[in-house]
Amino acid sequence: MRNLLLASILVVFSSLTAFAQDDLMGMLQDAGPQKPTPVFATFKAPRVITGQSVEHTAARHLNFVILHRFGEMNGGAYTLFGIDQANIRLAFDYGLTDRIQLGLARSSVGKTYDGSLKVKLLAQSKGKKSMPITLGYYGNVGVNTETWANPNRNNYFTSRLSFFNQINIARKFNDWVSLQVSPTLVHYNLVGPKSYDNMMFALGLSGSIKLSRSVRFNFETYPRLTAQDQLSRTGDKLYNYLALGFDIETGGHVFQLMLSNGNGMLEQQMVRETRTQWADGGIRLGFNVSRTFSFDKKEKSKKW
Amino acid sequence: MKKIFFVIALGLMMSQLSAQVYFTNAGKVSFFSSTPVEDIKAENPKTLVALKTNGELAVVIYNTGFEFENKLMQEHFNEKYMESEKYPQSTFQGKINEKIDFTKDGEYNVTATGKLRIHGVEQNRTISGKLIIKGNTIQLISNFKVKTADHKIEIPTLVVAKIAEEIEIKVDAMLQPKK
Repeated sequence: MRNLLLASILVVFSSLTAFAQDDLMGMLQDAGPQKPTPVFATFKAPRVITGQSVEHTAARHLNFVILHRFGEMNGGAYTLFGIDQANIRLAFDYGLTDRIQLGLARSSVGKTYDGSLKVKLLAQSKGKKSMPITLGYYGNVGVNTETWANPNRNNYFTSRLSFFNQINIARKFNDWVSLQVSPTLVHYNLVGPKSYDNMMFALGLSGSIKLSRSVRFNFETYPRLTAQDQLSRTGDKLYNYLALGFDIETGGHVFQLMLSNGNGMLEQQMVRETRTQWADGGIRLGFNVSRTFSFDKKEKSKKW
Repeated sequence: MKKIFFVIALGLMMSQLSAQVYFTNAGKVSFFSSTPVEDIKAENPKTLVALKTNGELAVVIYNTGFEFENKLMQEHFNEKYMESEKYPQSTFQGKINEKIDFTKDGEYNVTATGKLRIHGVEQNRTISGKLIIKGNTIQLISNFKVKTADHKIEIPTLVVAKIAEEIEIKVDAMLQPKK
């Protein structure tokens, strides 16, 4: 009897091993990567619209971006709804690694040159030991190179400098919706009257909604938390920045089309120097076009 | 009687053990799309392949593992075309039609019939390839084509000139006995 029991155990066991080996697919599934898989395309581009997103230019890739904003639409047909005017920002962003990006750019507003640094500290991922958010830092230093308003005065180079620092926290909630919160600190070495703060805090809110596989709707706003009643250096009233736009992906390129009340495209100008408002049609049509160049020799040299 | 049971059981176990499984997690699968406007290629060096000596064959590819020269293209490949968040894997599950003596070194031209699943859409396919048996290793090589339309991978009209209707696939995997 005992032998019979042993035998039946053996039969069961052997059929079990047979089952395990039969299922080759199951074996491969078990052998698959156990690492969490990164979440991709929280936003379509490194810029939500004008402000930064948590996306980066990939390692050893150069992203050349032309940002362009026309004039205010409330100029009416006389200015062809602002198209007579134009502001431009040319930006070169280079991915040192997938998580560190360096940038050089020049903006026509204030004839400003700037250098920037973007670092991704956490990347959202799924699977085992997943990460719920992407978190990154972005900062720049801008140098205004306009001729001095009053050349007879004692002017200092440091007066030309402005600084921008922000933490970007984003989450792709599902295939369709991504949101980003961006605590932001703007510092201008030269502001208006002495009583003004050089420093201004703002809280950026941005989002992206997928409309189709090629098109996304984006929004971004940077409400100022401090120094809201300060005027610009030339005495203009300032407003909170808001932009609405679309990403249109055309196979390797992303074309961004937007409406915004911001004139400057350098991030600190966007937050602190927005002089017109949506309420009375002080909005501008604009677009960003980008072209990415790969310097990834390793991938290039791989023969097919 | 009891002894017979025992022998049968042992025999069953032996027969299972004799069907050896060969395996790799570093198979190479590349694809190539060629049009007059643009050539696109990418390689996945971490393809999972298992082959059983009774001819059963299984392949699993994680779509996010395809490496492109242009990383923007890589993102679009995953987001727009393969929809890798919804369909993370491409798989093949089938059987080799020819009888192969896996103990003999040599090159064998073979065909495998089974289910090719890409972008969540399954197609019954017979794919030809080659097995090169050398000592303890089996190299599996195959070239075949996949029509994007067969797997419901839509190409927007905007980029239709850049992506071929038929994509060439190349498989090269070196399998070792699985312990």
